[in-house]
Amino acid sequence: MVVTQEDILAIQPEIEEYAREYGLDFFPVIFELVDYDTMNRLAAYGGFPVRYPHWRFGMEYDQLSKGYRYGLQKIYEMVINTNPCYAYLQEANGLVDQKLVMAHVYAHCDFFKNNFYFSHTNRKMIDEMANHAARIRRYMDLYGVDTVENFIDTCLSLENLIDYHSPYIKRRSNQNGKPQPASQRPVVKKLRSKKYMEKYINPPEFIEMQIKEYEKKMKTQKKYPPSPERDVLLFLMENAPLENWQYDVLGIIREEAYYFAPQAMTKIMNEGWATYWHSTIMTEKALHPSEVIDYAEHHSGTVANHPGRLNPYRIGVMLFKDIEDRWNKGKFGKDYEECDDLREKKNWDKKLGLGRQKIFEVRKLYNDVTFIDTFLTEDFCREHKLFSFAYNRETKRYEIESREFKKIKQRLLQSLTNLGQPVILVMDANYGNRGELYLKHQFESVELDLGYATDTLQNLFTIWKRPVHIETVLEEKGTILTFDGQDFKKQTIED
Amino acid sequence: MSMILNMENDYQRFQKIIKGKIKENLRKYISNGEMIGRKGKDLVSIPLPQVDIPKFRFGNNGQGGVGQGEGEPGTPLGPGEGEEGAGQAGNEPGQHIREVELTLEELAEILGEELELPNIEPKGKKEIVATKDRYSGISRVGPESLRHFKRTFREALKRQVISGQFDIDKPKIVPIRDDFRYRSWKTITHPESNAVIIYMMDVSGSMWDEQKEIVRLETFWIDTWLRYQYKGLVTRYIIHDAQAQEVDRETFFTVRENGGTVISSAYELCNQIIESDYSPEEWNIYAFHFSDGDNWSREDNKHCAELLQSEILPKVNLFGYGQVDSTYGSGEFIDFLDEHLGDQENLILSYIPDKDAIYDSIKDFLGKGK
Amino acid sequence: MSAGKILLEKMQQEKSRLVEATQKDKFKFVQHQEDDLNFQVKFKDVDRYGIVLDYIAVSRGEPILDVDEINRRLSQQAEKVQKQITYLLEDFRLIELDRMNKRAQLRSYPPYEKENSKFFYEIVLDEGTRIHFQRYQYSREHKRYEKITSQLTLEIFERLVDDLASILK
Repeated sequence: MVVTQEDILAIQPEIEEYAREYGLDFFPVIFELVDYDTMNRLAAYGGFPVRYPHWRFGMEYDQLSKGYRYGLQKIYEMVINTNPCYAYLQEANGLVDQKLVMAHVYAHCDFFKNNFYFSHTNRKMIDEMANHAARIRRYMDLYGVDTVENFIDTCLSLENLIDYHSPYIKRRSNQNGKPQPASQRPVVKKLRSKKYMEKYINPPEFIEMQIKEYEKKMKTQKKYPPSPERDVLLFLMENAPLENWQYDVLGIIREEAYYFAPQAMTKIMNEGWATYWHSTIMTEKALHPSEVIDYAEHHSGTVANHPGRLNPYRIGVMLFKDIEDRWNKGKFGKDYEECDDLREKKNWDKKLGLGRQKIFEVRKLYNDVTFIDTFLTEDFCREHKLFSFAYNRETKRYEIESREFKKIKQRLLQSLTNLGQPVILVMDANYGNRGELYLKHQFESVELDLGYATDTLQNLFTIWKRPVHIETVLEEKGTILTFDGQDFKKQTIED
Repeated sequence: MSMILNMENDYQRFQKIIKGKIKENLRKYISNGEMIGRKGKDLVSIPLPQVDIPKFRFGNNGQGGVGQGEGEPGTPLGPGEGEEGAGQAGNEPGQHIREVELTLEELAEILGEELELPNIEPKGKKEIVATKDRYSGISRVGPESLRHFKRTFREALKRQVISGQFDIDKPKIVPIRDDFRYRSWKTITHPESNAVIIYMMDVSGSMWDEQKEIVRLETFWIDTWLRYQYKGLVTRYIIHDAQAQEVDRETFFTVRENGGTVISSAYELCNQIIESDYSPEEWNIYAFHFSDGDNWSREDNKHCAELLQSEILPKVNLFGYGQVDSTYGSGEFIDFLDEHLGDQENLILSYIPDKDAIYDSIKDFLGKGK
Repeated sequence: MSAGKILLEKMQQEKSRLVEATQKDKFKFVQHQEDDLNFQVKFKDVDRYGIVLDYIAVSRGEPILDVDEINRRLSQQAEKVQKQITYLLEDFRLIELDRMNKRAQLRSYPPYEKENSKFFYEIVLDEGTRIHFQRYQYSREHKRYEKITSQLTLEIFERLVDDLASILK
């Protein structure tokens, strides 16, 4: 039996009704039925029908379609953070499954609307994406596809150098918080009259002038930036000698990175939330409980499940259920924590019934890091047989490391903090008094991948146009990596 | 919102980059056959170095994670575990190889572009009569059941008008025998190109595994290219030591004899096969012989030269002789051929001392566009 | 006296015979017949310590008529070479056993590699009645096999000659 768009529209009111009954709150949801291939394309594009032209989307699509062919990855649905909320469903799923998926989707939409970290995201992103695409296409017409594509490659290389934990995107250059359009950059004003400049990809005078302005700025300030900057992209936009179109493109990449950041930071919670609700709705409303599809594996980033492997998305629903249980029974607070009688703890039940309320509050205020940090308990780890694993350099394989609560929590937080990426800051933009860029990797315990780092430094140089440095720890020694435009240098820091 | 997501451009762009990377690394793939995996009849998979966009990120060693299940500290995780859910295939830490699939045709294209191989101009006369087309032709004779009425009447009208018999006031068309037209089939001649490759290999005692591997790699590339150039391709295999024998592909690459080396035995058999199965008018014939050049007798060298000159070379598009280095060195057969038949246009001699020389050898063989 | 010793004596004599300077560097040739075995040695020099040898050839007068017998002998002889002649720089391995041409070829394995060349011994058995010993060099530069001399101590030379003879018998 083939499900059609009409079928979907027919069952939508019922599911939506249940969702609202439970208190889920969402923007209007629009469902679309698509086939496997279209779903893969959508996923490759991050859920948006129009994106700027770039081969990375082709690569993503390539990986996804092959992944499916080998049965490893299956995308059940795709929801985007917009108003109205667009949700795409798999054509091939039967009606029963569609109901389940739709319940799942409503929970996602509720999450997008209510979670604090999404509060400043642009809900009209569909138009925004289309706008970005149009601007980039225009630059491609003006300056050539290869030129623009190569520059986008460079920007994407630095895409993760933003301030992830900042809940809103900084727009420093302007008072009223609106982004400063390229045409208002102060340096450009002088050249506005020289219309012919627009045609040139690399007007040397333009770049030279920016460098000179920069040098002037350097002379007047002692230390620039006065304090370390986490939003490296913004810093580059404001200080690197870029042509107008480059400034704009970098700005686009940054906007999109900030748009997607909350999603990356709340993956566990969001999936957990959606799984919680689809199983609640299906079981409590007794729709057809025969097949409960395990949605923890459905998201396109997941690897096939192996025994012993913790699916990071399962932990979300497990935790929500645990929170609900604990707040229903009152298993929190000073009294509970200080109680050391195991049996008493086990049978603790104050019948508070606050569970449901609590999880709604949680979905509003937390992100994955704070979620784990606050709600992962020793009991929980024990009950679910969690362990931490690490790479053993001697045996050259991954092994179970410990069942200690502290270790487990540490490992989990480590992989979540800053989206599992190194924290990198701009320390000095006038290094050596020669206008060189000096970054620092805030080393915790894991070293950078050297190969990737050198390649990225090269891309930084392309934008900064002067030597670039990054301070980090390599082979357990403080090291400064440098790229001066020709060669790489590696210097250990002698203290 | 209509769902016509155009992925074509971005996908093509990506394919182009992949293709570029393969071309960059083609020499490596040509020398290192193991790198190319076969996936079914028409697909190959090739490992490519990172096509990703570099970023500042952690090295894979040292990052741990959290798992669920039984086991004491020290228990190893199973394969595929230990990777954070980032969608990476289960690789060793530190390696980022991406397997890319290509059809043989795409591979051949890349080969041709990178090595600048000219397309082959097949020999002229392979017109093969195809099956009868449907009744799309018109003939003046035929069975009544195939009469084409419209055409018949048109002919009749033409005739009447020309002879002044047609009266516009009283239009009446009466066809006569001569006007009759019938449906008929068209004989369509497809210029179809058929090709046959005859591979010969010396399997005597001095040809060991390393030498066989070189032959295997070369034949793979030659096959890939010729298959791309010709719609129909047949392959025959001959092994020889002091005697020659036709075998199947599997045997060709695995058998080992040590019965001495008499090269003419292979050339005789090759000629026999051509004479009995492939007429040069209809077939584009390719022959390749691989050996370490240690033919045991000078007499036999002469015999080989005769066979080539008077029998084989006149019939084939191309005869390629590839001489490999045996464990002990390389014989004089290639020099002998060069001396005596070096002026023959369709004889190509190639010296292949090691795997790295395969690249240039393929260029030698296929670079003439024969 | 063993054939080897006799040959050595003859070689010394031959060397003394050719005293002129121009002949000193040339290749010299000696022969010896013992029952139905014929020995031929081509050499460059001989002294108290050893010889600079080109080749040794031993043959039996009487041909073997039956083809199967020939091939049987060839196999046997090849095996003996591999088993017995193990005191040279490299051991022998059977490369070819050509039943059609009634010939076997053994070479030392692995060949000795130095700079851009490979060096090895070759023993060819013909028709079960002939055995030939020679050292070769293959130079990558010239892409050619060249016969070269081998240097053997007197003791080893003697032993080699005796072995070659016994293998043929």
